[in-house]
Amino acid sequence: MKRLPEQVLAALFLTAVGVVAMLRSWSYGLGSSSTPGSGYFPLLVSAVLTLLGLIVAWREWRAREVVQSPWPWRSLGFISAALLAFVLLIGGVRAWGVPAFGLLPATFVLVTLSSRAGPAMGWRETLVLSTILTALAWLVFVQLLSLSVPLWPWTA
Amino acid sequence: MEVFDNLIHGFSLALSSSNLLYALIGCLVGTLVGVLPGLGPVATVAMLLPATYVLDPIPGIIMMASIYYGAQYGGSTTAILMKLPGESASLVTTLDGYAMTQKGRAGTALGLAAIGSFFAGCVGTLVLALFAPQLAQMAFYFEAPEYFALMCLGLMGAVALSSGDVPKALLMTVLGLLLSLVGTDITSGETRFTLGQLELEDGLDFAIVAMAWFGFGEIIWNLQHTESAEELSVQKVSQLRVSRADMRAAMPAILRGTLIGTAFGVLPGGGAVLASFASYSVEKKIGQRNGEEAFGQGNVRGLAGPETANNAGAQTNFIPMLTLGIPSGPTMALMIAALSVHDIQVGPQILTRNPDLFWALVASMWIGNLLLLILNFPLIGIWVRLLRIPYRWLFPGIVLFCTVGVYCIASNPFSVLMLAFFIFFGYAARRYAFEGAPLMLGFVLGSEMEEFLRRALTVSGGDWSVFVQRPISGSFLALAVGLLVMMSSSAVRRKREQVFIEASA
Repeated sequence: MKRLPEQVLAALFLTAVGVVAMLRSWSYGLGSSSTPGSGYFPLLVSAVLTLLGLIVAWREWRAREVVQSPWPWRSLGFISAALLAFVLLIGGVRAWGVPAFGLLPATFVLVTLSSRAGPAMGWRETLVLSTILTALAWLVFVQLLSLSVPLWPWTA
Repeated sequence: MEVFDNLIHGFSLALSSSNLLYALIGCLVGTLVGVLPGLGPVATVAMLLPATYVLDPIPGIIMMASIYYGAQYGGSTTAILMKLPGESASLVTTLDGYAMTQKGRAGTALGLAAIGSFFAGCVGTLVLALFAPQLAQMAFYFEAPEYFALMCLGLMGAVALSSGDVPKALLMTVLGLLLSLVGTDITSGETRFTLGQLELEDGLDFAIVAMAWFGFGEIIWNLQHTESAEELSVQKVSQLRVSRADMRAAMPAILRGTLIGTAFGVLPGGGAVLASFASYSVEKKIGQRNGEEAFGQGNVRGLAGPETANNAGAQTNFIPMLTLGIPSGPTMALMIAALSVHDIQVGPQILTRNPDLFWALVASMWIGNLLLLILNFPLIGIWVRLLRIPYRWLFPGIVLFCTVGVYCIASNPFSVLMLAFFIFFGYAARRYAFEGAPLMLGFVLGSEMEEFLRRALTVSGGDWSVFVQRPISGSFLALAVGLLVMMSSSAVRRKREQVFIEASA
């Protein structure tokens, strides 16, 4: 048997989301149609989602078009990692003993990590880019939009 | 005339030096970001909206609207110069626009686009000023069933105008509705679909969803297909130059385009795409004149008509958005969400509750269009230079501004985690051609639809037939069903596919 095309799996995933949402809606209380409860509209929506998910899955399966390109794990990974690093650095995690580093180090790391998601760049180029963009972020968010956030580890 | 008194009042507000400054900044930044390749108008607006939150409502919405026009014009620039349509509405612009660029007439193409847009903007603003109050008057007769039906119609319109597969677009709309229900139910106070996360009790932030879909999904997609993107070379354009002969040739198309765009733009569900396609086919039907380039090979009418129609539509899109609360596309959906951050509820009451805001916005629309026209002639050289920034420098910047922007809105690291989570889905959606526009519309309309459905059913005593029995809501629903049936009939589907393929080829 051939592998299911990825689109079919995507549509089935949304169908599953629909089913779970239907079950949850049930527990919120449907009420009656004259006094709809918290679950009334969600149940309706998730039922339609489930139905449409099945229809799309069926159509995609019939079409048998397979997405050829591989998953860009490298890009996805570096960009997600950049965001996670930003979260860790800007707020710190007390439970893990990570102190807050402030906005400037956090944005610097954010840019450095996310730039790795693209075509290869020399370290000098990366350094210059990260510095320029960090300065730009400071100018826009702190100077112009007056975001109140500690900038450095020692002011955090 | 009351309208003119109101307009004068609006101008007196919009022309205050600080508001004028915000309009100017909005136009500049909107164009600057919109011109960057890989950033369509939706992503541009989503990225820049947080900046307006720190302002008061009136300067805030003035700046938002200017960002919107700037992004639109920036999008046309990339469509003309690089054949990169930022959104489906500028697909048609690429046909003759890029052909003109290849023939070395980029300056003329950009100039005509600017003049056409300005003309369309003037007419669109006037139409908005004249008809929005009328429509708002009419909307006072609307009750819950009518609003519910109208929103259904709006969603169907968005589905009909999305360029892809109809069932997929429907699926995305419904997913948007479901995502909008995350958080506390306003009526019962019960929290729904929060997965036990306290941070989700206020609901998902629209900016997170929009950035994940239109910002990050797009970035990862572009990085994957980067080989071709790197090779794009941009012609040198130092000046916008429109000769009198070109102007004379394009003027009828501009007039027709304005008419078509204004009419289509009012339709709930969004007419900008339809308007530009309609205008192109009208110009094509009229036929090639002596001494004119063939269509698709740099015909001035083929550029000016659709580009004007697109902008007229973008202008009159504000009518259903402001008076009925029905967004006509993802950008308008973002605007509604951003206005609600400023505690402004769009709908027929906006004219009575926030008249200053409404008229200042109308006036600032015209001012924004004028500013764009004035700015673009001298600044085009800079915009073109921006097009040459390599993508490997650009995308970390987009990542940075999206991330810090999201952090800034919520000032909460959790929202950045949410963003990281949704990036995966944003890319997957792009990969399998699940479109973001219907999702955004469903997301913005969802909670209101639930409210109206509840109210309608409570008043009718639980009788669903209330939606069909009331004439106005019945006809809205009939239209919505009609649209759906039309879209699924095979003849229309084939025609529609052909149009989109022709345009993207």
